[in-house]
Formats: sequence, C-alpha cells, structure tokens
Amino acid sequence: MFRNRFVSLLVLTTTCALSSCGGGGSGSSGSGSGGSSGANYGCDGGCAHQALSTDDVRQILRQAVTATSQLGKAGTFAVVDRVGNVLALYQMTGAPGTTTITAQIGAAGGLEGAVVPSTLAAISKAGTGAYLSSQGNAFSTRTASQIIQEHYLPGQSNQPGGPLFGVQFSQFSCSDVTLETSNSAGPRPLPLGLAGDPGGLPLYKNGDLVGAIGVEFDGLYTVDRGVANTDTDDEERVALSASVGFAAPAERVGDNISLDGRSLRFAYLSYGDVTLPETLDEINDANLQSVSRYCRAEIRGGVPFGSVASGFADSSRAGVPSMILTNGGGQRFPTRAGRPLPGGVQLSGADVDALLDSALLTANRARAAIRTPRDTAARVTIFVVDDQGTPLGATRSQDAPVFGADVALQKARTAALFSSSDAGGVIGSAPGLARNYAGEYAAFTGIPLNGSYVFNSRSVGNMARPFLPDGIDGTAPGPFSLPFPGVGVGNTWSPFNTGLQFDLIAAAVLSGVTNPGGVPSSCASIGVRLRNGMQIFAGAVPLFRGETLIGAIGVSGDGINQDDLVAFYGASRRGLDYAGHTGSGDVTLGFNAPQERRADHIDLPTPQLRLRYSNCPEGPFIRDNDQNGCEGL
Amino acid sequence: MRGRGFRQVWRRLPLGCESLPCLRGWALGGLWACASLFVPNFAFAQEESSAEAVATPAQTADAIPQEVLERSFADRPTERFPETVYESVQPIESSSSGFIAVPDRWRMFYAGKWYDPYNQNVLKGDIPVFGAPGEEWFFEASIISDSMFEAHRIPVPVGSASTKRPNSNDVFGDGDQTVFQQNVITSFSLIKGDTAFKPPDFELRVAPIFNFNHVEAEEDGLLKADPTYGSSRSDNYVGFQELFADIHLANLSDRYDFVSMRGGIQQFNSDFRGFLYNDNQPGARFFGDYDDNKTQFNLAWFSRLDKDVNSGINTLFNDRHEDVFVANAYRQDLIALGHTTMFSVIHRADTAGNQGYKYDTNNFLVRPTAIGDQLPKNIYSTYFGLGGDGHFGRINTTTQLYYVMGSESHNPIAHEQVNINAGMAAQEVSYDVNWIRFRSSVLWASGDSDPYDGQATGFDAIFENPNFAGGDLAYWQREGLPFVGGGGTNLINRNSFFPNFRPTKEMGQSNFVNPGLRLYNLGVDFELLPELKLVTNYSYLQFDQTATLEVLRQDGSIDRNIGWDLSAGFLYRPLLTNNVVIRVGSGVLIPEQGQENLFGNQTNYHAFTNLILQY
Repeated sequence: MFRNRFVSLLVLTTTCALSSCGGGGSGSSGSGSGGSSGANYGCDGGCAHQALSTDDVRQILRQAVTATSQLGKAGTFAVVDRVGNVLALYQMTGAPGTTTITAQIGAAGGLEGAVVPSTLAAISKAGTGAYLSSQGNAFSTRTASQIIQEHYLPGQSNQPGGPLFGVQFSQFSCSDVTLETSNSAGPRPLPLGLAGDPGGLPLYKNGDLVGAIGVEFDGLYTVDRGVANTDTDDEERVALSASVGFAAPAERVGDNISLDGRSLRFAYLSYGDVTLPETLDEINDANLQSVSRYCRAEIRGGVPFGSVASGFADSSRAGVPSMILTNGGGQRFPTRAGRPLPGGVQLSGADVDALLDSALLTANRARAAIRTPRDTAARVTIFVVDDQGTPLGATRSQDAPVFGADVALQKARTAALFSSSDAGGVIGSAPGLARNYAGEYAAFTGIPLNGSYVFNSRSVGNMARPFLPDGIDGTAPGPFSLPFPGVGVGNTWSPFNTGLQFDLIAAAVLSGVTNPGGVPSSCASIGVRLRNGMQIFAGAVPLFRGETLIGAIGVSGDGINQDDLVAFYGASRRGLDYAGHTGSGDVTLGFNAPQERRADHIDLPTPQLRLRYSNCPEGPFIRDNDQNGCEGL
Repeated sequence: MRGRGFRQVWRRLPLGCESLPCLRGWALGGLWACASLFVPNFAFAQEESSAEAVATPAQTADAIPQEVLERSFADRPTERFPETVYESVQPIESSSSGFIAVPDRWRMFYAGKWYDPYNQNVLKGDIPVFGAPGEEWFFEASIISDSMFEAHRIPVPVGSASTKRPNSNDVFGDGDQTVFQQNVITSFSLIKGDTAFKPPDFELRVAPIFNFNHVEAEEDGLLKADPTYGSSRSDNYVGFQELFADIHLANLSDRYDFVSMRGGIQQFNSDFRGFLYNDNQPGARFFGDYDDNKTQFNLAWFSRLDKDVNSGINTLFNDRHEDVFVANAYRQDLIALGHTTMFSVIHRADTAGNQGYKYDTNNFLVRPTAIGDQLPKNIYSTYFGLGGDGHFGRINTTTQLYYVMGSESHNPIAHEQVNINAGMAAQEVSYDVNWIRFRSSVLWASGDSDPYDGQATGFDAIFENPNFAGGDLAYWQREGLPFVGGGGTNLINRNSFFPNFRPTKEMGQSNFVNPGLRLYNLGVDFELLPELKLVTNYSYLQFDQTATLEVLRQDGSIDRNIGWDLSAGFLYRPLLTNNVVIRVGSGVLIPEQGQENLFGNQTNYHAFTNLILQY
C-alpha cells in the first residue's frame, strides 16, 4: 500500500545538490597512509582511537573511483567515520542517480520496489560497515545480509531466522538516539537504516575502526539471498579496492567469527582479487554531494571515537571502563527515576544505576560471541526505560559497536510496550497497519494483548517472523509479521517489509527518505512509547516490582544470547548481587518479571508451540564451565 | 547364520516368495506371516511329490533301503527323510559288507524339520534344490531379529524457536532419551556348487532389511526441524542389506585358491576393526586368495548409496555421490606365526558438493554441514593402511595404521581448499589368564591445530564402524553428541569415535579439519560361564587439538581432556550358539575439563539391552 505512493514520490525527488565546495583536488596517489591490507595490530578494544584525515578520505575516494572506472562503470560513494559522520559523499559523472530497494523474492509492500537516491543508499551502506564493527569485529553489509533474513543461513530451509532479524530498521533520523545536530557527535542517522546490500566495508587504521566506505552503482539495494555460493559483486569489489590501506585486520573479519558454529561472511572477494594501478584517478570535487541533515559537499576528517566530540565518551561505571553518550558536550540519557505508578512504585534513580551497573558487569564477564580474540568480554550498549519507554539511563562498554545504541533502546521500549496492560489498544490504534496485529495476537494466543502475560524482545520477535515456528518453511506468519511470498499474496514479507515493525515506522522512514531535512518527532506512529521504533530480536526484558511493570532494560551489541544474558541476568537477583546491589529489586527475582506471567508460560492453542523468553548462551561467562548461567532466574 | 549339519529334503523348493513385494510382505507381517505364505506351498509341494512318488516308485522310496530313511541315532528320536527326495544319483544297492547305501552325500546325515537349522535342511543349503549331478543349486534362507532398547543422556539444546517447557532459560536442555530399534534382516541365497568343500561357483543373494525405530526425547526440535512435531518420533524403513551376484571365476590351485567377482550391494570391511570403511554398499569386488589361502586380496569399487537417517539403512536407491576404491592384501603368518598383516590403499571421491543442499527426512541440513561457511565441498582422499591381527606367543594384538592425503575442495571451517595430511594409529594388546582376558588399547587420531593454515590434519574416516576399546559398549563410541552451540551438527556420531563434526555419520561428509582424538583404554573380559561373558572397559579420552572446537564455539579456552569413559556389559548366549544372543550394557562419561567447557559438568550415561534372534 505504501509502495505506489512511495515510488512516485521518490523518483521525482532529488535530494542531493551538486556543489563545488570542498578541499583541494590534488591528493597523493598509490599506497595507503593507513594500515596495510589485513594487517593485525592485536587491538581488542583497548587501542587508542584514530581518525580518518581528509587526505585519507580523498585517497579512499580515488581508489573507489579508479576501481569503478576499471569496471567501466560510474558509482556513488560515501565515506563515514565510526559514529556516522559523512566525511564525503561522491557521485561520479554518469553514475545512476537512483537505486531500487528489493529483496528479489517477489515480495510487495513496505520498502519493496521503492526507488531511492543512490546517495542515501551509499550512506546507509557505509554506516552499516561502521556501526556493526569495532576493534574486535569487522562486519560488512554482506555480514548484515546474512543475519537479518528469514533463515540463518539465508537460502537454507527450516533454519530459524537470522540472529539480528529486524535490525535493518534502526538508526533512522526519527530516532531520539541518532543526532542531527551540525556538530560531529554521533550516532548519526542512516537514511535507509542498516543495509544488507554488499558494498559497505569498515575502514581501519592501525587496528582501530575509523569508519567505512559505502558503494552504490548497480541500481539494486538488496540482500544476498544465498550463501551456497560466492557471487562476485562489483560494488563489493570497489569497496574492497577503496579500502586498500585501510583494510580490516584479518583476524577481526567476520569470517573468523562463528555465530552458533556458522562463520560470518565479510566479503566474497579478498584483497588478492583486487588490483589498483600505480596511478590513481583524480577525483573531481565538483562531484561531491550534499544531503540535507547528512553532509555538505565537502571532504572532512573523521572524529576519533571515544572523544566527547564523537558523542561516545570514555568513562567508567561500577569500577570498569564504560562509555557515556554525549551530545558533544553534556551527557545524554543521564540517570533519572521513572514515572511514579499507582501504588507508589517506580524505578528510582538508584534502581536504574543498580541495573546499569549489574548489566555492565554481566557484559564484562560474558564471553563475547562476535569478537576476536576469543575469550574477550562482550561489549554492548545498555538502556533502561520506564513503562512508557522514557529513557532513564544508559551505559556502554568501551568499543561496543555503535548500532547497539539505537537498538538497545528500541528493544527496551518494545519489551515495555508489549508487556503493558494497554499494549493491544496502543498497537491497534496505530494508523496504516497492513494487518490487525493485536487481533492476530489474540487469535494466536487466545488471550488479548493486555499485559496478562509479559514479553521480552525475544518473545515479541518469535511472533514477528514470517514463519511460525520460526524458520519452518511454508508455515503461516507470526501474528506481528506478514506471510512469506508464495505462502501469501499481496503485501508480503521481505527484509524491507517486516510487518508490524515496519508498518509502525513506515511514514517516518518514507518522510526521512523523501525529505531528509525534515525532523519527524517519532519513528513510530504510536508516539513516544516506541519513539525510535520497534525491535524484534532478543536482548531486552521488562522490569517489575511485584506484579507491576515499571520499565524495561535493553541490550545490544554482541550475540543475541549474550544480549539476552546481559539484560536478563543483569536484572536478576544473581546479577544485582554480583554487582553489589544486594538491596535492589525483589529478593528472589530482582527486577525480572514473575515467572508465571512470562511469555513462555502461555499455553498456546497450537500444540507443542511455546514462545521463548530468555535464552542465555552456552558457556556464558569467560573461562567458566557453568553452562546454565540463567537457570532458575 | 546357518546351522551345520543335517537337513530335510523336498523335491522342489517352495519358493513362493521370490519377488520383493512378497518378501516385504513377509517381514511386515513377521516371521509367522512368512510361514503362513510358506506352508501352503510346502503342502502343495508335498502333495505333488507324493503323486510323483506314486508314478515313479522305482526311483525313490522303493529304491532306498529302509535303514537309510529311518536311521536312528542313540540320542535322537527317529526322523525320516521324505520319501520323495532329490535324486542326484541312483542309490547304491545295499551290500552285505555292512555299508549302508545312500542316494547322495547330502543325505548321509540326520534330517531335520524345516525350522531346524542344525540338521540337514534344504532352507540352509544343505541339500540341493535343483540341478543336474555336479550342477547342484542350493538355497539358503535366514532371518535375524535384532531388538535394541536404550536409554541415554546426551547434551542437547532446548528448541530455539519453541521449547517443551517454560523457564528454559539456558541453551542446554534435558538430554534424557530412549531409543527402540527393531531390525529384521532376511536373507535368501541361491548358490551353485557344494559350499562345504569348495567355494561356490555362483551365488545370488537378496537380504532385505526392515526397520522400525522409535525415539522419545525430552526437548522439542531435536527429532524434526519443526519443533511442533514434538519430542517423540516413530519411523520405519525398508532397504537392502545385501543384493549381489557372486561369480567364481577360477580356481588357482587344487586347494581351491580362487578368484571371484562379486557385484551388487555387499558388506565390506576395510580392516580388522572397522576403523575406516565398514559398510554394505553397491559395488564390484574382485577378490581371492593364493598360496594355500595364506594371501588374500580385494580389488573393489563401491558407489555408495545415501542412507535413511533414522534407521541407518541404505535408501532405495539414492546416490550418495561418493565412490570408494579399495586395493588390499592380507598375508598370514607375516612377522610372526599366527599374525596376519594387511596392506591397503583406499581412495574416496566424494562429489556430493555438486548436488546442492541435502536435507534428511527430519528436515535437518546434512550436506553441506551446518558449520563454518557452509559452502559445498568435494573430497578426494587416499588412505594408506597397514594393519595386523593375531598373536605373538600368548600375547594377542591388533594394530592399525592409516595415513591419509588428498584435498577437500572447500573446507567450511577453513573457508578454503585444504590439503589433507592426517593419520591414525591404534593398537590393542591382550593377554589371557585362564578365563580372564586383560586388554590394553590406545588410539590416536590426529587433530588440526590451525584451521586456517590450508592444511587439514584432522583424521577422518569414510564410514567407520569401529569395534575397539569397548566398541559400542563405550559411551564415546556408542552415542552421538550434538555439538550444542557450535553449529547444526554433531561432535561425534553413533558407532564412531572420531570427533569430526558430521551432522550424521550416515549422510554427512567427512571433515578433516577436526580436533582428533587420543584414547587410552584398559579392559578386562571375564568368561564367567560358557554362556556368559562380562566385558569391562576403562578409557580416558582427550582431544588431540582443540583449535577447531574453539573456532566453532567462539571460545578461546577449551581444554584437551574429555574425561573418563567407563563401561561394562554382559554377553549372554543361553544356547551357546548365536541363535539367541542377549546383550546388556551400560556406560558413563565422567567429564573432565574439556567436556565441561563444551557441555557442562553433567555425567552422561547410557544403558541398553539387545536381543538377537537368528534362524
């Protein structure tokens, strides 16, 4: 239903104006000034943060232009720093001005079929490479593609959905986490969310993540549908060429990281597959682009991560290194109390600090799933919200990937909203829904969505998959999702049309694409309860005092089971005690929900089906043989 | 399988059940349904024979002296051969010299009922069923019922999309399971030539196998990919255990050294203990012996069938896309008198990587394995084996060495083509003191210390079925252990001890980037009674290298020590034959650090009972 309106708007809209401002045009040629290809520096989160200089950015652009010309093509390139500042947006003469969003699975609705400016696609692709990576892991848009689809791995039958299913719908400009200010503080928004279209790679200097390159020219903004092959993607080839001299450390790339025994994919090509000539093509500064709210037509240097100016300042909490979010000056999301609820219960400021301490210390003990070297700690972003989704505090591990900031808050708000007594009413009142999702939930469970049972983001995610049970081909969709193409017709599921999650934010996302300069006050059409949108994978639990929902804690940045552990164990009596907050929360449950009200206690009419609640990982803690860290919580 | 001795004769074999559908009907209905099909034909044959007997009295009853037909042994009741008997030669007149004339040498002995395999029985190939003198054809039938019930505990995950119980907050779930397997193996052979004195000239054998299996688990999503299927599964399958023709090509000496060719589904074991390839697969095998049977050899090619995953039986007839080529020779009394030495070269070409994704009947991905990057692969590996079996004086020994080289076109853990360069060594030494046998066994299967170096140095077999260091009594050999948290595969599989990350031994592909194994075993066997044997085993297990475990589990501190594998079992043969065999066994795997790193500190166990009835 959005599709026609969207396409007609977008094809007529040009948001980028040509400009001739910018720095000098004579860059050095040839070898890189950053790290050599794939060299290892042993950085695991503790290395000093670096930044791309304007010369670095220029060299990266020249390498991109040269490699694209070698292919006989013309492309659009974005270079961003780690917090999403667009350091340059460059469109070669003759490059396709638009690209079409499609997963190529015959789906319709949502963003499927939308034609969007190539510049926005390039920014999202670059931002994905930067936001998903860290000193401990180098992920690309191809990695993202692998973990957001209906099966993990994509192309295989009867495998559950990707672990970060739904993460693509985050980082939008409508979020209250992303910053649109003119200073350099991030995280900056990504116009299309996170991208799964190959051609976005992170950039490193001396082992530190300093940004990413995004390449768009093939006219398709899509996902890699199968992992049974190693297709060669020209955009990926150019991104690899562009990152020569700034390559991810070989030991950090996704290929060396196993998620549930499956290694992630960084790129199908390697640096050995790309060659650059001795002399690089010059770039024409007249081809630098500006996009309102994202970038001016200029080349600028990046900002070192961890500095106040980056929006992520190093700090400490509970005796361990941490990070606070800043707006370039003051701390964002400082600790505060939640709203008072009937009966005088609320999350006090001390409760919030106890939860943040406990969760951060849990992360600090947890064995990272997505980082190398192995046996290093998980690094995550943690948000606590009250029952209305109001942020009450935030903390981060140092070097945690940036994407987790927005996602942790999305997850927390999702857990809070869906566990609320008015959840069904709020969702049912949202405009423009493709299905009566609250009604579908009631039909699926036999009970209304009214807080009688409570949900963490994993339970909500179970019901937001195109197949139910998750991953079993040919089955009907979960109540918050849409039918898979072929199972259903018309408005069907794709990574660009995920059902309730996308429907809630559709208007804001479209507005952000067609008019990037506009400032939507909220991503979700239902207002502040899901201000930055809904998230549908694990890593948040609702918080309770007695039988009363008082908020939620959301975690993002490592594997989903690790995120779940940090939230669920962090909110538990065990976690709080470990952090020394023995007086906070219930004497047995901590801040966790009463067991019998959790979603995994719902006796579904469908035999043998049970929603999941929390699922902590195998061997959750570093160098600890305990396999059942969350037993009985 | 067949009894020795004396048989009963019919004029014609009542082969009412030669066709496959009929045979399948037999087993489905069970042994007695089989008999009911069988008996009317038998009766008919008897009547027909009686009619002929009337028509040609001179050739049969009248010509055979009564004392031949009604011989009485001191300890047995009088049994009478049928009056209509197979006539290969005219009976010799009885003489006054005290010799008793018999019509042919197959009737020199005592005749049994059709269900008696221990006396002359036409169903056991003791008496020809047709053919001219010197061209006799024999028929052999057998039926084996193998019933196995087992309870075990293995590490299992809770369902990822749905769990059986609420509050399943961790990955590991309840691993208690029970398994029931009922196999009925029927075998029918048509043999030309007297098998008692020389190799048969020709043999046709059909051995359909019928399986029923039932598993009860405690978690959903283990038995079928769809968790709503539940935690209980029944299945059945029918396939061929054997289906071959065997042609005796030539005798090489007057002591019946021979060469033969066998084509079709046939059992073949690559070595003394089934370390490398021990399977029933279609192929062509040229084999024989010379030098008074002191040297034996095989040249074989097998083109493997895929297997049904729940029964382990060959499919009808899905190609596994794996060819195995074997050249081996055994030499008796080499090194020492009573010690047989074996040399072998075995090549395997597994091209299943060209076939796309393969799912088993439970909808789990089996090829390529759901680990690493999961790109398809072909495997070309050549094994060089040196084995020995026998005794040095009073010391019994079995030895096997394998070196394997070759390549995997793309190893999913290494993410690249790898060169295979691996080996294994195993030795068992035993010594008998009166009725007690003391055994000591060691096994080393090389592991891979660096998955990313382009070298695959973890040993893996083709289709092993090892009988070593306790065999299927031992937990580590008997049970398959899901590699929870490390991918959709198993660490080890049933009837194997190589930790190779195959999703199933039956359908998965070999993988030479693996941890390898070190096994140290002490065993004591007690012959408590002629009918009763007690076998005990004490094994300590280690991974050879833990790098691959650490990669797949994304865990940098997995220890080498797996733990103690303790097992004991009784073998009871109440009749002192193999017609009734009862096995009862149990084992535990007591974890050490490495297993605790992977699966926690739970002690896993198994207990099984196995009843084998054989005709």
